[in-house]
Amino acid sequence: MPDWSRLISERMGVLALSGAVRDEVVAELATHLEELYQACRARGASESQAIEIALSQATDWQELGREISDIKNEEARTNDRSKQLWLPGLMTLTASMVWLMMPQRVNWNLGSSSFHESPPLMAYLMWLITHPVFGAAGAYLSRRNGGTLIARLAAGIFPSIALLGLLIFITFTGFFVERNPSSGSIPHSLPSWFFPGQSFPRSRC
Amino acid sequence: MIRTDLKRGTAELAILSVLENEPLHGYEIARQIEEQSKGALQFTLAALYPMLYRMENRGWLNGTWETAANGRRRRCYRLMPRGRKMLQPMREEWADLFRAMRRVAKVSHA
Repeated sequence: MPDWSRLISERMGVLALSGAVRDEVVAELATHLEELYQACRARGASESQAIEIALSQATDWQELGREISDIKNEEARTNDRSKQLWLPGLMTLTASMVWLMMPQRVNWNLGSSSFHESPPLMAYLMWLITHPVFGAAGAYLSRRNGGTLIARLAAGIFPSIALLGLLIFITFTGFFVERNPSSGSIPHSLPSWFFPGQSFPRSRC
Repeated sequence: MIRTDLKRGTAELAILSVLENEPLHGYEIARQIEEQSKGALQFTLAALYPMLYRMENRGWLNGTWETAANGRRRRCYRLMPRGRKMLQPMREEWADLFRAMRRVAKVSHA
């Protein structure tokens, strides 16, 4: 019985894949050829004929290796993006939202008496002050999963970007769809998008 | 509207169809397609595996290593919900194609 893994590795040459993925691909193709070889032998083919039939399954093994590498690397890139950007980003965004909700949920009594009432200044301030911690946690998670500098940076500022996007969406929805003048005063609210703290001195407390 | 990438579409529909009832490994997928099409459709290893990996990337299939009763390890492919959802529209598309070809080329059923 031929060593199919060795035959495939020799024919494909160097694959641009990580060791584990490469071994998996070679093992899977070797299993296929082995089954085909055995089926040919069972139908009465000689050993050399069966090997020839099996190896003729690919006319250009190196081209097949390149094609498989491209597909597998695309899969790896998608997985990496999920692990290095989306997962840390969504985790820190969730943690940040939960942290914002906590004072409201436990009715942290610093001037506010009901859940629907605006939370007091201290709650927002504390949330804003601790925000870099969430960003740092996102960047750390991204780095732990092998994230590049850009991926770490993006994961770090992900909660801020998501919240800014939400704020813009709500403001524009209010302005263009509902024609709500209070949410539509874009020039008035613009500074608060970039400097959220600037509105505190004007708030009710 | 019928897509132009007919060749790839044929292969994808054939693979999804044979996996509809049970998970199969690569060699068995190729064998069943050949058997069910009475030899008209034949997949070489070089055609089959890039396609399986692409379909796996799209989330249509999921491949996992399993050990058979004889101790041999094989990578078995399962149809995922996303792949199952693709089956019906693809079948309808192919039925449209065959109807159109019958009208144009005056081809009758075998």
